[in-house]
Amino acid sequence: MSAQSAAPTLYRADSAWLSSGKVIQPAYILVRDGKIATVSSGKPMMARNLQVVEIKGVATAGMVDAWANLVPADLLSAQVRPASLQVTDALPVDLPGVDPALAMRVQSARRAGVVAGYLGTGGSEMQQGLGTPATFSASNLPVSTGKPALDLAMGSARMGGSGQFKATKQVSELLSSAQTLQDNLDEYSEKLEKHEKDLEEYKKKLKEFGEKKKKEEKAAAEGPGKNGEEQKKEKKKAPPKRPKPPAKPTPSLTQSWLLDVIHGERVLRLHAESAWDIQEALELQEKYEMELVIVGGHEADLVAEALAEAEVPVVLPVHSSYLTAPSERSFATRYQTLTEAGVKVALASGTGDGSRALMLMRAGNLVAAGADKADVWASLTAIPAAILGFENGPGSLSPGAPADFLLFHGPHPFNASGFQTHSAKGGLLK
Amino acid sequence: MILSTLLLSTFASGHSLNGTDAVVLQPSAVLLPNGTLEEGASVLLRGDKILAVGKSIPMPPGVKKIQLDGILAPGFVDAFSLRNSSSLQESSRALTPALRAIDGVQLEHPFWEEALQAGITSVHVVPNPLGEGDPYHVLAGWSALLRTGTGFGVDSYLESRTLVSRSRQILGTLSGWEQSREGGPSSLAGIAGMLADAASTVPLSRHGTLAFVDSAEAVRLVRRVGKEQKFATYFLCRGDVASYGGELSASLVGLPAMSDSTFSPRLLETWRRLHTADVRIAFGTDRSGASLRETAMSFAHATGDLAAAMAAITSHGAEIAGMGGKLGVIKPGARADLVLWSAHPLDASSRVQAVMLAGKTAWSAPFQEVKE
Repeated sequence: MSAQSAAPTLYRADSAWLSSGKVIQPAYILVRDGKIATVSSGKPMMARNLQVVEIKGVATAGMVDAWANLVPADLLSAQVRPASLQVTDALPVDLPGVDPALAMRVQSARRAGVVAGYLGTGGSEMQQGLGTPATFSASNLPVSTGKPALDLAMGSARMGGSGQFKATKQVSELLSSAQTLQDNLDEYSEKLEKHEKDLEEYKKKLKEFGEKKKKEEKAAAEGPGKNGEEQKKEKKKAPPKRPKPPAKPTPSLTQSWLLDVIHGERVLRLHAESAWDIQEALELQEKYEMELVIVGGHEADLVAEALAEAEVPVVLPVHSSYLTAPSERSFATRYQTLTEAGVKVALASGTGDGSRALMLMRAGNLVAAGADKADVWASLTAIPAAILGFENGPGSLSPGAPADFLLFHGPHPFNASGFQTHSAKGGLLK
Repeated sequence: MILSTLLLSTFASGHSLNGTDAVVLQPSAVLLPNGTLEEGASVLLRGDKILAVGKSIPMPPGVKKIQLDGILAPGFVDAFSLRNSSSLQESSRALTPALRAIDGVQLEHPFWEEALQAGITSVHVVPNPLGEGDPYHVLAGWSALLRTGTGFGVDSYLESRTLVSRSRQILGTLSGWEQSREGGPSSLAGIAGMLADAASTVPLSRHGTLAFVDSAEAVRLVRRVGKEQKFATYFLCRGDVASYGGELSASLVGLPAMSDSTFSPRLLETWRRLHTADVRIAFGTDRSGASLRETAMSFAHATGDLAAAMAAITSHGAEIAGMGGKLGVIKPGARADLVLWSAHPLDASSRVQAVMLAGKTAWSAPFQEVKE
C-alpha cells in the first residue's frame, strides 16, 4: 500500500483520536498529495467513488520531537561548533542518496512514530546557533519548515564538551546589548532621516551656488570687469559642503539574532537546567517580552508556578541522563508537577537516536506512574507542534497536516510494541 | 475521573503465603508463552512450584482462592549480567576455569531491590570477559543465577539466593584481542587448543557451556570444540553481531539489552534478521544499565513478534542460565516467580503491582491513585 501516487487515497481505520481529543469510529481519512484532506466518521461525499483502503487500528497524530539531533553526522561530531552555526546551512539537499546515514536515522525516527522535530545546534548539548523545525521528505531527509529559533545554552546546561555556554549574566548582557543596539538603530534612523533632509538642503544650495556662479561668470564676461580685489573676494566663496551620512551601527550575528527574538520573529530556546537559571530566564522574558522556551529544565518543576504564570513551555528530554533523579523528584514527579501547575510540557528525545526510539515507552512510563494519558499524549504531539509553530501540521490529525500518522492497536498508543507509522510517502512502514 | 485502585489480594498486600498450602491465583489474565493474554485462567501453586495453569484446573478441596486485579506474568530473567559484581576477572592466566562469578557479586547493593520492583526475578551473573586495559584472550569460569530482592541475609546467600551456584561454564573466545596479552594464545587456533584442554581437564557443567563470541570464526571454533568434546554450547554475543549473525541461525544466543547509547537503526535491522533466521534471543543487561523491558518492547516493535519478545526476557534467559522450563514461564513444574502487572508487561503504561518469589510475596507496590 502506498500513497506515492498523486491520486487521492481513502483510508478507513477502526477509529481515530483527533487533536481535539474527540474519538470518531470508524474513521475515514482522505489523503491527497501527501496531506490529509478530510477526517470524518462517515465516507466523505467527495470521495464516494474512491476505493476504500482498510487499515486496522486507531489512527492518531504522529509524534513531534521538540529536541532532536537529526542533522548530518559531521555536525554532530564537531568538537567545537561555531557560535554562528545555522542548522539550515548544514542540511543536505533533499535528493535520494545524498546522505544515506542521515536518511536511515530519519527512517528509524519515523518507525518510532516521530513525524517531525526541532533540529538544534548541538548533539548531546544545545549550545548557540540557529536551529529549525523540520518535517521529513520522501527521501527521508529533514526539510526546514516552521518558525526558526535561536538556541542558547546557559551555564547550568553544561554537561561537558567545549561548547559555548553562557552564564546568566552573559545572557542578560547579550540581550541588553541587543536592546542597546536597537536604541542605536532607532537613533540611527532619526539621524538618517535628518541626513536625508540635510542632503536635500545641500542639493538645493549646491544648485543655487552653481547658478549664481554661472551668472557671475557670465556677467564678468559681458559687463565691466571688477577690479582684482573684488575678484579675489569672490573666489573665497566655497561651494556648500555635502553633509556626512550617520554611521550605521554594525550588530554582531548574535545581536542580530537576539534582535529578531526581541521583535518576535524568532523563538529563544534557552537550555537551562537549574531553577536559578530558569527563574532568571523568566525575568528576562518579562523584561524583553520575548517568546521563550525552556529546554532541559531539570529543576523546572521547582519553579513550575512561575513558568505557568509566564506561559513559558518546557521541553523535557526523555534521555536516560535526565531520568536519573533523586527518588523524591523522579522524572514522573517532575513531569506531573509541571503539568499540574499548568505548564505546557513537550517530551523530546533530547539527544541520541536511542532515546527517540524509546520516547513512546518512556512517555508510557509516565502514565504508569499516574500521569494523565491525554496530558502525556499532548506532550508528544500537540504541545511540541505548537512550540515549533506547526498549525494543522505535524502533530495533528486534521485537514492540511501531512499524512504521517500513527496506527495503534489497543486502548491507547503507549503500547510501544503495538503501533505502526503511516508515512505520507511510503504507506505503512514495515 | 480519578479512580482509586485497591489491590485486593493477599498477593499484593505483603502477606506471605504458607509454603505448604495450595493456592489458586485468579488474575484478570495470565500471560501465555505465546505472548498473548488468557482471560479467566488460574494458576495453582503449592510451595514454590506452579502445579497447574488454565481455565479449568483441578481444585484441591479447601484450596485458598485469591483474586488478583491485574495480569499475571512470569518474572523477567536477565540472561547475562556483569552488574553489581566487583572484579569477576582473573589476570594470572589466560584460561581461568576456576573463576566463580558468585564470589564477586555485591549482594547488598540496592540494585537487587530495584530489579525486583522492575519485575526482574532472576539475574544470571557471568564473569567479565574483558579486562581493564588488558583484555583476555580466553576466559573460563562459572556463572551464578541469583534471585533478586532483599531480606535474605548475607550469611545464607548461597542457599537462599543462589539457585545454582555453578550454573554455567563460561568460555571466552573473543578473537579481537589476540595480540595483546602476554602468555596467552596468539590466534584462534591457540584458543581452540586451550578450550580443548579446558574441556578435558575441568569437569564441564551438566548444564552446558556458554561462550562469549565476537566473530564468525569464534562461533565456528566453539562449535567445533563443543562437537569434539561433546558439550552443548550457547553464545553470548559481543561486538558487531550483524557481521557474524549468519553463523547463529537456529541457535539460542544472548544479546546485550539496548540502551540510549547502544541503540542504532542498524541494531533493529540486526534483530529483524536474526529473528527471521530463527535465532532464539535472550537479552542480558551485560555491563550497562539497559532496561530488559524497554529492549523487549523495541524488539516486539521491530519484529512484530510479541511472544519472541517476552521469551527474550523470560524463558530464553532461563534457558541460557540452565533453568529452561523451570524459570521464566508459567507452567506446571516451574518455579512460582510471578509478577502482577496492571496491563500487559510490554505495554509501556503498565506497572508492577506485586512480585512473588518462589511462591512468597516479595514486594508490593504502594497504594496509587490512577487517573483514567
